[in-house]
Amino acid sequence: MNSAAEKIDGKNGYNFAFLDENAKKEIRRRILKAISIPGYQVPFGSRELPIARGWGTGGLQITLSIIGKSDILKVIDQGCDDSVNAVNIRRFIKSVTGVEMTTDTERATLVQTRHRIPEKPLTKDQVIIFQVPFPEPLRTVEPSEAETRRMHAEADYSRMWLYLYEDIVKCGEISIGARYPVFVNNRYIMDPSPIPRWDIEKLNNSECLNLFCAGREKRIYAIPPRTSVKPLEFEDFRFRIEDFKGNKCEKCGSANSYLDETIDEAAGTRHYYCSDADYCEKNLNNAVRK
Amino acid sequence: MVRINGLSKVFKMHILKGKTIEGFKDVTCSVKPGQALGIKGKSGKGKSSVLKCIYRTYMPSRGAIEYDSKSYGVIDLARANEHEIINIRKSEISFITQFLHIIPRVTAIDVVAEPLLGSGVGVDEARERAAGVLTELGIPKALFDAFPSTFSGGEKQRINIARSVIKAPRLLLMDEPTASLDKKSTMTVVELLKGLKAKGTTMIGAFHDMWVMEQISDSIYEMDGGL
Amino acid sequence: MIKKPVLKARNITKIFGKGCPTCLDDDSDFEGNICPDCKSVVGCKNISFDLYPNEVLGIVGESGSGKSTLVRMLYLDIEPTKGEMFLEFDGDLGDDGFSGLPAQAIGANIFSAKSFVKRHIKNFFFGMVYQSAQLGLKLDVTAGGNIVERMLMANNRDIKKMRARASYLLGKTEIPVERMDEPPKNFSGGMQQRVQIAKAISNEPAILLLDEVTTGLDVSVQAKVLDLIRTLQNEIKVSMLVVSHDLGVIRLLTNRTIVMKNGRIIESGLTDQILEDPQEEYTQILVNSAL
Repeated sequence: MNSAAEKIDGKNGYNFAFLDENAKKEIRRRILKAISIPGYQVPFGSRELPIARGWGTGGLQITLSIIGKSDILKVIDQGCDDSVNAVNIRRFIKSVTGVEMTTDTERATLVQTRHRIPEKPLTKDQVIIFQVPFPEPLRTVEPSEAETRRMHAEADYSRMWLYLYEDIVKCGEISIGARYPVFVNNRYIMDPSPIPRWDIEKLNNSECLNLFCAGREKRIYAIPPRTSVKPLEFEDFRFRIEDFKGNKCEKCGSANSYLDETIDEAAGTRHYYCSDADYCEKNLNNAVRK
Repeated sequence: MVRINGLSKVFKMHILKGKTIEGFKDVTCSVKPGQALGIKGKSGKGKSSVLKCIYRTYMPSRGAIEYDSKSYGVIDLARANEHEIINIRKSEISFITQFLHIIPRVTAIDVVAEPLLGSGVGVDEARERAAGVLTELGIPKALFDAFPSTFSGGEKQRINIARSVIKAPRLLLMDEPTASLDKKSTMTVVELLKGLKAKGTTMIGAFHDMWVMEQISDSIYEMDGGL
Repeated sequence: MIKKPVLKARNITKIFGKGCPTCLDDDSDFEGNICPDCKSVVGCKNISFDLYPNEVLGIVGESGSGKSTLVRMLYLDIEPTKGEMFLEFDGDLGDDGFSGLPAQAIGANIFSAKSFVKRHIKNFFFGMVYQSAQLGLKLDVTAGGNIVERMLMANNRDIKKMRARASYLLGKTEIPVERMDEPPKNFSGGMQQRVQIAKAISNEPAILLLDEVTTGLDVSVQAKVLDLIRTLQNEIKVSMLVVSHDLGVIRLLTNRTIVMKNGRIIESGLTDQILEDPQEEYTQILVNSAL
């Protein structure tokens, strides 16, 4: 997506897309490795950026490494384009690349996200980049990195299954909300980042390329297009998505999108709105046009 | 069936500064299939030690014990490997010892039935046959499901005998089988052993009771070595 | 008539320390368990033996004789400095199809096998009961979970079926089934050992390794654990290796016994022969030290 000519075309005295070309090259090589081994965590040398680690530096490094001048970027935080985090990342990327920004899911070629996948299915011409706080799904059951690597290498996942079994014994169901562990390509257990269970199904056999990066933990992993992604489940305790019990978005009336619940403390009432701002707006516009 | 040739046993007692104790020396005797050999001799002459050597509880020091086994043909019990001995013990040779090895916390009937279970007989059938032998030996039914550790010496001894004979062994070794029994039980045991012999079991036994020895034995070997 | 051994151990040596020709050569030997040249500690030296199908083999010796080191090596918990182990399996595969040996393990020295082969063998060929329940169980995970873990390893994914099997095994080991969803840290020492046994037999292993399983328990509790092991001997076709310093345990459970001292096998034979007619000085001392 970017060419040699772009090197000299940086903004504000920086190289195009802030990172130097060697850093981008390294990260792109790691991405290629991650795509080749779906679900496998590839270590990489996480660079310093003008925002603190833990604020999306993983996703940002991927975006900066693959973005080119003709790309159109969308940045969302929990489905919303206007949160402080999303706005700041967008501004920063704009200032070092000059590429076009959008909130329109369909127009974007790159989507950088925190904790959501847009409701509108992404296409083969789009790439979605996830910001990941904790890349290691086995960390819940094993503190040692050396041991979790061994477990992945040998596909020794019984302790993860045991964790789910114990959860069922204690809670009567699997109580994991976000960060629900998935099997990628029937081989690696992967942390899908803190997306809701609602979004897990969108990862399975998706048309788009899914890239994940944890800046603080220095790991890149990927789900290539049309790859099998299955949530961990038992034959008699199936994976379930969130149930909104018939509630609809109060703005656009959608009954099949992931809803945010807000509580009006003064009135003591619950309100439901689409978490995906762009989806909600388009729904609303369509309704108005009709 | 069994041919013992120049059998000797010397105990080397390392804990007594390497002192050696002679158990018995140059025992040579034999017994034909279906016959019974009585071993006679004063206390301490090594009668029990000979039997233990045949069963391989003792490791013979010199000599041979040729046994015509069903599983391996003629085999020298003094030199056979441990697995051959274990197999022969399981399927061919039984030993009624003077000292009782009662298994703790197992009921009388199960102690007796256990050897059958190891050879593929079902639990119900094994217990039924065990009950038969126990009844034959005059053990009251009330004791079948009790623990033998609480039994009298004579009762324990009869449990021991029942356990040893339940599979009708090819070769039966006996070390004072009637030592702790009263007259009546002794008669019962003698009848049982005679019956077993009539069915083909070969026997070698040491007896303190001359009457029992004469009742059962076809030939007698007298020990005169030892201490 | 005599079957092939399920386990063959050959010249297994474990040296704690850097080692030198004196302590590593199969042919050299010396007194004690400290190498006179390099001062390394000899855990085990030149251990060779066979374990046969359905056999119960005892390993006896005082503390520090290398018994537990040996069992840990057999169970692939620790690596030997040198030596070989071969496994043979001619029985049926379990329902899960996992209980047998992976193809890579047949006729090969297991100690040099790939780690996933070793893990398979640990999980499906062996069952292990440690002296300390802390080593054998996850004390914070429920008793049922501890047992179910091995079924999960065999890709069992039906909670109801697995719980049914776990309650069957708990029943067999006389743990009240109501306590299935309690963590074993709430249990007494004897109960913990019985949960360990239930876990160890859950995948119908070919070989059960029992390392000082009654040590540290009250006499009455010891009796219960020993009775359970005896019952299992009669009910399931499994070869057992019973490690104990307690001659009573050895007498009750085993047919054949190996006597160890300073990491070496000094005598082996039929259990009753070892106990009644021990040949070596050390064994005579051991037998005569029994209370």
